[in-house]
Amino acid sequence: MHGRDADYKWTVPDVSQFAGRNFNGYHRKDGQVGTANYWLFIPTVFCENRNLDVIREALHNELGYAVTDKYKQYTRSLVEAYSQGADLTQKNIESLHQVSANNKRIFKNVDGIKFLNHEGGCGGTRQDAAILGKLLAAYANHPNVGGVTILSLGCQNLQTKDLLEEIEKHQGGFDKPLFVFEQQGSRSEEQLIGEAIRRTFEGLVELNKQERKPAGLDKLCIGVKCGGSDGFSGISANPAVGYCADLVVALGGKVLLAEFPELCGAEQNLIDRMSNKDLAEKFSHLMRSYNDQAMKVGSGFHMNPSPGNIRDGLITDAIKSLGAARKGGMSPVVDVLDYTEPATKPGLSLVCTPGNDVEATTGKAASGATLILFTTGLGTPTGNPVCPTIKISTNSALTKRMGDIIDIDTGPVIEGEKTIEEMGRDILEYCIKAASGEVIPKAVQLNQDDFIPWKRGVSL
Amino acid sequence: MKQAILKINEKDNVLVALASLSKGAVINYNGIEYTLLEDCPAKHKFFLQDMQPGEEVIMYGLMVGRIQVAVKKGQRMSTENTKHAAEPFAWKGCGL
Repeated sequence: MHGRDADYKWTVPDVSQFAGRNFNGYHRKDGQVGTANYWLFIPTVFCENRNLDVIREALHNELGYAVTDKYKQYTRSLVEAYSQGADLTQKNIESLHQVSANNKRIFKNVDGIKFLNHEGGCGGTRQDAAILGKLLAAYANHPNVGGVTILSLGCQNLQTKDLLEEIEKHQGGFDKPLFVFEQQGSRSEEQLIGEAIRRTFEGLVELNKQERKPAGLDKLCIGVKCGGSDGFSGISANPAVGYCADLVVALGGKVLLAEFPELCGAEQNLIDRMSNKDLAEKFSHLMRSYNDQAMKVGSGFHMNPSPGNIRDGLITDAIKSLGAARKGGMSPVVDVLDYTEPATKPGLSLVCTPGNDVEATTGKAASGATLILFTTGLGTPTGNPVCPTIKISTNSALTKRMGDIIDIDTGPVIEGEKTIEEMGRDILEYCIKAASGEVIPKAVQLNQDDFIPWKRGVSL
Repeated sequence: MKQAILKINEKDNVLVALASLSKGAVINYNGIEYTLLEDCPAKHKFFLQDMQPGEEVIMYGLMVGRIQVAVKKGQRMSTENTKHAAEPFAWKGCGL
């Protein structure tokens, strides 16, 4: 026999600073607590994307959720300059002194109206449509969603009936307002859209009656992600987020770590942290079948680290993978979830998703993340339609340069001004505020609503 | 005072340079002095002890590679002296 026995031992961090603390969230009947209250529009098929765009334009502008006023006003100023024969190069956007933003929210307890435009629902395989159905159903059941409007064409692969069946499978039942509109059964585009807007408006009036109420920190479900990484990711931001993850676990909450291709080289450590063999086998099977699929198309998880990574000090694949895995902390792995499976156990769960930033965040929200902690060294704007995404910089230079998309700076760890533990506690304090709607992360402010379903083929 | 190095896990046998360190720089960590035998740019790692081929390089408290050629305390980790080493992963019993 060779190899070593699992010698993993986790020391539960001190959570006295957070004992008895609450966040103010939206309590759902299934026992989950949302960090936001959104109305969600779901198309069963890409044919309805245009109709959703029209509805978004109308509702966002008139109900106070639009973020494009500044650019509309800037465009008007260019039209004006053009019609007067003025020099357009003199018209910088910075020269707009006053922006008359129409951001007065009509429904103060509705944090947003969100749209899950996608490219699927027909044309692919039936399996693609089935997985998409599970994903869309998971979003309808997400604790940050208070009501749903479905737009369907009629003849597509993903039938409304099948989607509704998936939605109703939810543990604890589905009891949110839900409206369905089918284009092939409507008299006209105008009638379809008009009706969808009116019924949704009525739903928003009801949704606005819900209020934030205190909930224990054990109700938090935090997804962790890194993207646009640099050599500091595994040194400052990921360990700090990992410490925050350990605090959340110690407080009885849930943490989701995904991006299976990025875990290559960290498998043994993760397996050593699992409490039973079934989990280890499920994880090994998902990792191997995913890698095999990648190998079939001439790729594979092993093509790491890149020359740029090596120049940045990531000498071996294990350094890169362990640095990435550190954002999940060091706590025991309590569950392994395939794509779209809901997280049900308190503690750290692994969720099978690609490493692609948006496919990964899309999958984490589907498994129930109500906040995502997203670390970046180079700066990336990614957000999610229903799960507020908090952007954490690995270095202060990035925070200075892209302050409009960064929420938290872990540069002080590199400067030697803060320990990883101090930084981790700061991140949890921010999470509590964000979960209560007291601070709005930049990606949310910008309506950065990225959503990419994983077509199980190959996407790395 | 600004700290130029970081040990991520107690078990690690490498330190991470948080700022670029020049050859000859003397780093004091936990009462022990380390003299850099070569330049170590920020984000790179240097060894805390002399090591022989086959020995495990530990970072994050876990093995991240094996030594390929003998290295000295204060030398920078590189693709020449350290190679990724992963054993096939398997269930080894519950460590909890």
